[in-house]
Amino acid sequence: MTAIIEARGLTKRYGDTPVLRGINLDVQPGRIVGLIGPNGAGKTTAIKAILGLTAFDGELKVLGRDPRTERNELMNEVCFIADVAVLPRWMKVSQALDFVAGVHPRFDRKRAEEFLARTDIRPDKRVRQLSKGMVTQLHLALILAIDAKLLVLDEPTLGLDLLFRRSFYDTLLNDYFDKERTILVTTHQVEEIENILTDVIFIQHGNIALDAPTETLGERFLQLVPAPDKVEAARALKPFHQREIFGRVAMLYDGRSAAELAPLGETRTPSVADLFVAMMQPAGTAQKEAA
Amino acid sequence: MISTQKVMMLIRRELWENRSLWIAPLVISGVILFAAAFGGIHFGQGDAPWYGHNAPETLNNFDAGQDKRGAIYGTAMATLTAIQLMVLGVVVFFYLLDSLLTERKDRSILFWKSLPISDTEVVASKALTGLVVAPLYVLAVSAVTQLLFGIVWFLRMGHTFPANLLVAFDGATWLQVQAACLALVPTVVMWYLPIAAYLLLVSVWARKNAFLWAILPWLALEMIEGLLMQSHHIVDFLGRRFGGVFLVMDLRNARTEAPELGEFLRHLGNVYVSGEMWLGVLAAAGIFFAVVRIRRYRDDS
Repeated sequence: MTAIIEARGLTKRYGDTPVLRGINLDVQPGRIVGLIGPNGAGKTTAIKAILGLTAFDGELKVLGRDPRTERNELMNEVCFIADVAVLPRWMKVSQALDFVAGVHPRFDRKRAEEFLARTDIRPDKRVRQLSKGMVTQLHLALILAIDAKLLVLDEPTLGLDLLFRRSFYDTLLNDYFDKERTILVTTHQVEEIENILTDVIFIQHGNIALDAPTETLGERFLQLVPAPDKVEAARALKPFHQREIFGRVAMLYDGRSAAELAPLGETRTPSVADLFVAMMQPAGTAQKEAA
Repeated sequence: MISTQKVMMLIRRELWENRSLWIAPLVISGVILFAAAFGGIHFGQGDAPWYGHNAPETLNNFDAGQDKRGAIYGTAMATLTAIQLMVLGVVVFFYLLDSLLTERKDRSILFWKSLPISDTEVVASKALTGLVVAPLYVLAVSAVTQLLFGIVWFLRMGHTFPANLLVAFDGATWLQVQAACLALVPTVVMWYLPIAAYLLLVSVWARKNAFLWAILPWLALEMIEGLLMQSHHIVDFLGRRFGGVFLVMDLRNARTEAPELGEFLRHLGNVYVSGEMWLGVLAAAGIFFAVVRIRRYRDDS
């Protein structure tokens, strides 16, 4: 099968500041990919490039099309939620349904209505009368009813409370996702979505720091909390990150086997959040070691 | 490449968001009908306002003459439409100026851009709403207002009003007024196209204060011109763009006789044979193209 997103040397500068430094990406169909990075790392710029919302250099194909020149065709098959606050505040719920039904050939109005019926959102309400969580539900209802191949979510749950965040991702998994569809999501709240991701991409300073299927992370990365007398031995195996927890040191290794590490202490598979923090803060670690 | 169905939907969406476009003409109609029902009428200098009973001396003695009744009725009805059209001009001015700015200010552009609608369709829908849908709607509202005006006038004045002055309704003249307006409005819109396109350009380009961005550059240019060259070409140019269409029509010379539709249309024809109008249309086309490109590629939202 052909890749849903294929980027080669994707580059973007704002004036003198490089935002994307020639990144390569391959996103396959039926994946849920988390694009994770600190603020200003280039996540949103990468997404804008994929959606044809910004000019860029390099090669990029989304569903086999160039977003720069074929954006209009592309948007028939791509959906995105930029963040929660972009639905026009003057619009009525019923108007939102009318509108999307009027312009989107793949919109199934009945499906959106069924989803809304399960919420507290009434059709005669205006967006400005809805809570932030309800606006997200409305946007989700519109998106779920569109038969698209790629769904792009940029911080979709920012500013929502835990209940709405949880139900957002549950709905996405249960009512939307299938093997034909692909979801690309950026978020700060890594912990909440790491269980649903099939792939993670870490992006930092406009470069890809890590791009791997989540199921391979356990084979590649291990966290070791060495026994007190084994700390030096553990350091000798060159962890790429270490931090102190309750007086003990947790070390992260890339490419060491469990057989190598197990004799030195407790090992476990690090969470995506652990890995993210470790890989984004190498400078901080170095300082700590020096001190 | 442009889908009619999508553009129609986009126009509906414009009317949802910009309710002033369809409410303002109704309000003005209401005011006109209210004034027709309750307003005092001054007739002749020095007379007290007349409210429908006991017509003043000057009025009773006035005789418009048989052949002028239709003309007076026509002028009165055309005036009602003219009021509506002038207000429409102001409403559409601000509508166009805001149309591509608000979507960036409230960030809803990210929603519109998440749907399969091209920038051409969006810009076209805004131009069509302001320049075709709103004027046609105003003409329809105005035509109905004129009929209601006749009913109000008849009910209020009944038999006390000297019918030789202003009749409540004159079918043939009413039809002629509507036909004249239907011909006039597209002509004026064609003349104003470059102004409309310029407003869209400011709207798609400005980050805020679209009104100031639309006005200040011209003021500044005019001041610089005045200081450096002691001339006023810029003001002349703008004046010509705003008022020139009526000069080109040269309607003043048509006023000698009672207005007559055929003659009015011949005067409108002057506009279509003027190179000035077509130059403007050409400029507008170029600006529209630029507006679409800018909306397509700017990414500061």
